Amino acid sequence: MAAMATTTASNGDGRKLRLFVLLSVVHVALSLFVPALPGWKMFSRVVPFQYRLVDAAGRAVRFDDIAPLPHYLTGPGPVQEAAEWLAQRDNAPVGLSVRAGGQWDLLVLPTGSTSECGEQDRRRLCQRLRSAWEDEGR
Amino acid sequence: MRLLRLRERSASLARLHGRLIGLCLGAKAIEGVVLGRGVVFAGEAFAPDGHVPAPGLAAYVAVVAVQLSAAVALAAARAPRWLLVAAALATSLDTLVATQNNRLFLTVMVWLVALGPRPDPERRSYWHLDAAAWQLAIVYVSAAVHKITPNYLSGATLRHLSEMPHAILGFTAPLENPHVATVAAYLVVGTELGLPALLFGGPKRARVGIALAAGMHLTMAVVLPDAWTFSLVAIVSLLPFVPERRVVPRTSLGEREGAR
Repeated sequence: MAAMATTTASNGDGRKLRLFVLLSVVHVALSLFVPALPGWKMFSRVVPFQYRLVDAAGRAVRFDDIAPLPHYLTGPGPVQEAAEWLAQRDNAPVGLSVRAGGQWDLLVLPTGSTSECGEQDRRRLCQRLRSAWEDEGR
Repeated sequence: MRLLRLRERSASLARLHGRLIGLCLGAKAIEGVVLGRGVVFAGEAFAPDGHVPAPGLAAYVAVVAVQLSAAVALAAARAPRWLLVAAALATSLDTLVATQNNRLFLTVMVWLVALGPRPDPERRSYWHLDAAAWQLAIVYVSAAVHKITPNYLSGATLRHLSEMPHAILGFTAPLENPHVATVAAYLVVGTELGLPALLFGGPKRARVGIALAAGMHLTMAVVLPDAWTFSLVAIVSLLPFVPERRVVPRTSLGEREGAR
C-alpha cells in the first residue's frame, strides 16, 4: 500500500510538472505575438528616443518625477502612458513631444485621446513644447 | 518527455531553495518600501506597465506584511502553506500594479514554493524544483528567440542599452564600438540558447552551465543594477540543477503506466 501511495503521489507530481511546463510554453508563445503581454523579452528591443513632457501649467516634467520605481525606458510607450496618467490625475491636457527618428508633438487629453500640434500651432501647450527642447537639464 | 521526469532531490536542497526564494521576496518587499512603491499603490505616482488600478495604501501595507511574514517563516523553515499561498497572491497583486520581468519571475517562483511539497526527509522528489529549473530554461530560450532580429544581432540594441542611464561602472563602454557590440550580441544569444543544453546535459555539463549562468547574471546585476532581482532569482533557480544524487529511474518513481 505504501508503494502504491508513492506511485500515486509521483504520478500526480509528474502531471503537475508537465502542466506547469505546458502553461509556461503557452505564455512564451503568446508573448511572441501579443506585445502587451509581459514575456521574457529581456531588453531584446531598445528604441532610442528623447522626450519633453509639460504639465497643464507648462512646467517641464521628467518621467522620474512621476514614476519613482526603478525602470529602464526601452521605448517611448511608457512615457506616453505616463502623460495619459498625468493628464487624468490633473484633469487637464499635458504636452508630450517625442523624438525617435521623427518628432511627434502631442497634446494628451484627460480622456486619453491625443491632439497633434501643428508646426504653427498657437495653442499655449504646443508652443511650450517647442520651447521645452531648449531647456537645460534633460 | 524523458527530460520531463522528476529528479531525485534532498529535503535540504528544497529547504534551501525555499529559504532563498523567501530571501528574494523579503529583499524585494523592503526595496519596494524604500523606493516608494506605496505611493504607486496609493495612486499618487505612475507605474509603468500597470495592469490593475492603484488598490490603495492599505492594500500595500497588507502586501508587504504578508511578504515579509512569509520570508521570515521560510527562513525559519516553518512556513504554513496558507501563508505561502497568501504571499504568492500578494506578490501577484504587487506585480500586476507595476509589472516588470524581474517581479514576474519572482512571482512565478513564489507560487512554485507555495504549491510545491514541503521539505520532508522521506520524500525523494520535489516537482516544484523541476518546474523552477524548466522555468529558467524557458526564460533563456524565450529571451534568445526574442533577440534573433537583425536589429539586435547588429549590436544596435546593446549599444542603445549601454547609453541608458543607470548602467554603471563603465562596463558598457566597450559596446560603443559597433564591432564589439555585434560580437557581444551574438555571444548573448548563443549563451542564452546554449545554457539549457548545458544545464540539462548531465552533472558535468550542468556544473559548467551553472558557472556560466551565474557569471552572466552577476554581470547583468552590475551592468543593469535596477534589474538585480532578476539576477538574484535566476541564480537561486540554478539550485535545482546542482547535481545531488543519481536520477531516479522512472519505474521507482512510478512514472506513467509502467508502474501500475
